[in-house]
Amino acid sequence: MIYTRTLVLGARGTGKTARLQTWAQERDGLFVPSNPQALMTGLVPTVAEEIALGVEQLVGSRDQLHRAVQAVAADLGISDLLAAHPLQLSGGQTQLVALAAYLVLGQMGGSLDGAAVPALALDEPLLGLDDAMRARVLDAFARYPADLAWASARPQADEENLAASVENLGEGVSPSAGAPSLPSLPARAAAGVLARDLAISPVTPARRRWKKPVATPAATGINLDLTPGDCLILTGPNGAGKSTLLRTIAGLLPPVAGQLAIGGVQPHRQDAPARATLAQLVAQTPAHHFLAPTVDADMKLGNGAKANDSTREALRDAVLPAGSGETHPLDLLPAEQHLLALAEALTAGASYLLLDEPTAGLDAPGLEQVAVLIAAHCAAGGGAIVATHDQELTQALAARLPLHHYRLDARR
Amino acid sequence: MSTPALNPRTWVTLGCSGLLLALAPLPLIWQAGLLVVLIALHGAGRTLAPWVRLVLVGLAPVAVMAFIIQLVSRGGETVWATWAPVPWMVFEVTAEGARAGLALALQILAFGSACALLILPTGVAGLRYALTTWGLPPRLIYLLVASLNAPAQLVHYSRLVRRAARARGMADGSRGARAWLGVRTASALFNLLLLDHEVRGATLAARGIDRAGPRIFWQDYADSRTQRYLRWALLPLACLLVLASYTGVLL
Amino acid sequence: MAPSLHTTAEPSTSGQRTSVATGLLGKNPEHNTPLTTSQKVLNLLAALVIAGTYTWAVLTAGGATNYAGYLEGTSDAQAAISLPLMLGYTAGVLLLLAANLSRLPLATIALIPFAAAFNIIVGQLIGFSGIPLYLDSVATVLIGVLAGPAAGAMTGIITNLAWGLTVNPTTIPFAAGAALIGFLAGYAGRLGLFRKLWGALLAGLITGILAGFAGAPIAAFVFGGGQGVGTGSVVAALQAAGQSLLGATTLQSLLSDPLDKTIAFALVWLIIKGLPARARRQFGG
Repeated sequence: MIYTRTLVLGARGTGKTARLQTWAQERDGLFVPSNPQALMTGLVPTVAEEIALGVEQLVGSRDQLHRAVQAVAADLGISDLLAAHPLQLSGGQTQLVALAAYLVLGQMGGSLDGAAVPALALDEPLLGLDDAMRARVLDAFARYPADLAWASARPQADEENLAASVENLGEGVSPSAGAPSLPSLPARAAAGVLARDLAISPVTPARRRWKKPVATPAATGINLDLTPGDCLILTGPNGAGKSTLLRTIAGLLPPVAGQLAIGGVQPHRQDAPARATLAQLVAQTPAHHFLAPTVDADMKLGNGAKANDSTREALRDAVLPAGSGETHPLDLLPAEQHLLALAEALTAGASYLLLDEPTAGLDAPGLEQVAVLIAAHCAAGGGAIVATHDQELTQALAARLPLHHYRLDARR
Repeated sequence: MSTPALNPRTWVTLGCSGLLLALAPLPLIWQAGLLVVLIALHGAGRTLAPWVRLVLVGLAPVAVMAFIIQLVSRGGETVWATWAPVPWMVFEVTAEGARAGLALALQILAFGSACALLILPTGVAGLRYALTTWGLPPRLIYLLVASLNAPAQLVHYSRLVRRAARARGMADGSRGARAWLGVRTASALFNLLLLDHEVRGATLAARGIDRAGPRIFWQDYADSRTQRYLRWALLPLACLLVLASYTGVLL
Repeated sequence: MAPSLHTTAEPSTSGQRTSVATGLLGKNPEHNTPLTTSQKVLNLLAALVIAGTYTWAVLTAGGATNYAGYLEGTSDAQAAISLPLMLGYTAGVLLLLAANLSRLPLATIALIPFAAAFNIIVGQLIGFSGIPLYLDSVATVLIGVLAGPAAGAMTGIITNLAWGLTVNPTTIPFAAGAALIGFLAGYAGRLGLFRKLWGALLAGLITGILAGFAGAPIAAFVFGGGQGVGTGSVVAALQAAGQSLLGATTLQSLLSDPLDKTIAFALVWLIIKGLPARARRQFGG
């Protein structure tokens, strides 16, 4: 039996999601949206049960249920997460659990009472996954015993190799085709980042002792030395603590041990505006980032209020279609939300820009825009730390400015 | 969490019977006995600590207040003390008031302890198992179980939003600033929930969570014949006691 | 490529997978499926049972005279009321659930636990803060306005059940009142009262008055008016002034509920104004 593997690609706004939905409908299959957080049902306390939910009525025995869940967890390399709480995972881990909750159907081969294993249409299933994870997921895709399609804004070679057929939905309506015309940004206050033997943990110490620690291990022995204008690429497998490191540098978490200073001061001891002047973190999920009902109002929040109007408008127009000022930020396309969150961080004019997977789900022009914005920030004397698995972003940045690299390894 | 000795269905049946009896007009001594039994059950289920948190901390003030209200303002024949700040408002501490207040206080505490039996010894997963094996509508089970988990999930969401707000350098130094930030994040949170719910609904449908019928659970819950008989006997027994209490047979 | 497959719904339990996919992937409308006759009957029955229970409680215990017989027997008026009262309200809630659960789109069902959680957290915070309000119905009202009276009523019920089982058992008996709030908010939304602020305020006031009446017997007979120090003192004073316990809790509820619901409705009006268009479109608004 040969099953088709279809890759749906296209730039932002070309309707990849709608195409996948139709594809699934044509095959009586299931559409898997690209929002892992929302795919956690909240019904059950462990990852194992979360994965098991969809097949509880299909299996014949508890043994079979255990085998199916363990098999799919092993395929995706999340066997050690089975006892964890589905809400206490890193972004990449959540994505894997969400995929496992659907791929487990593939283990049901003989027990569907004649009904076939459903075809799957997955929207951006590889977002935020490191290379090892990607390889595992694609491997699991290859073995899934039914038709399978997935969408990708910027497919890489491994995806194209797996796909037997490719549906290209084209370039779409790229609202700001070509390089965005950026204003010259106001100079950033010069500051270096110095970390000596830094240890980090995602759990805030003391006050919240009754809380269970998060599954992510803390990283230790981190040494960094960045001067103004430096751009650092932070890599490492999912769950190694990249996001935690960024949040520690942003002053949102205190260091567990060792020392950390930006421009000579400890970021977590500063009050909010001063902290955001030192370093500004852009959340991994842009939707979490917006707090005002219009784009213009949102750009004025926090330190954004200190920027002058022309800078703010120029940055807005560089990333959004004309006339977006009065739009609700959450009414923008996902890719536009990513860019807006980045533009807002630039507006605020911090010395350091801390970016967590800034290109997840962005198409090629979007990625270029991210690189241009980061380069403009560094040209204005600012520094940047970019946590990313995205080779193309690294290349695009390397073409514009010298890069430093730092790799965090998982402690297991 | 250690596996409870009893099957979740037994705990839920015990809780339901307790609820019926807690609200019935039992004589005071029976009410007190019921409360003792419920507390003993929590002891057996090793849930005394959360019981203290839920019932004593949450409900004891209500029980005490209810007692005081009846004590001072119900009136009656055996008057212990009187206080009339204005002619038309007379506070009287009476034996009848004390007795009515005590009955209310015991009712409140027993009610809370019985509610706690539904959830504390079984846990959310056990409750889901019990309700599913009884064949309740899956949508109702989802609503109940997910709602019990949702506060934690919502706090998680809200932490993400607040973290982003802090990262943006929104002032959070003063109490007022934090309250304003809370309002801002609350509305942002609503937006997120409203945008996510279609996806969540889709995944519930895709994973067959609202399909009726038997399910096989990840966790195994031990059961025994004694417990099965107990479950059959408990509710009729409770109903009999309730009827007896209405006819005044109990002393 | 077999379009005919999508139209076949399979009622059998085996091979459900395909029918599930069909329901999911078709344009699954966010609108409730229209009420069938039996659902209408169930809803009506629920309303009658709740209203009947309330009337019964008031008629049985309304007069202060009944209390004189308190010590004469075990089946005295007040203590004998709480169980039938709870059973009546519970029956009403169960009828409401039976009538509306299967009618709501699954996406709305998925939203309700979060709305309930929001209510619980805000209600708990306000409770601790010492502000003499509850504000535990903001999400109930919002869901009612956005997704309709049935969804609002479900949110109210689930809020109080989950709240009672996790943090504060006193809320469970008030589930019927919470359902009433969500239901009325839904109707206010349908009538377009949320287009203008004054409309929302008016709807909040009326809802508050009705909710105050519905909750008073529970406050009286299950909790003896003791849910709070402030409200409890008011109840004690009113009872000392010659009111019956039910009369005292009713008056006390009418002091706080209308204000609370008016504020909640105003907040919801604000929230709706700040919603992204996408979120409003999901509900066909």
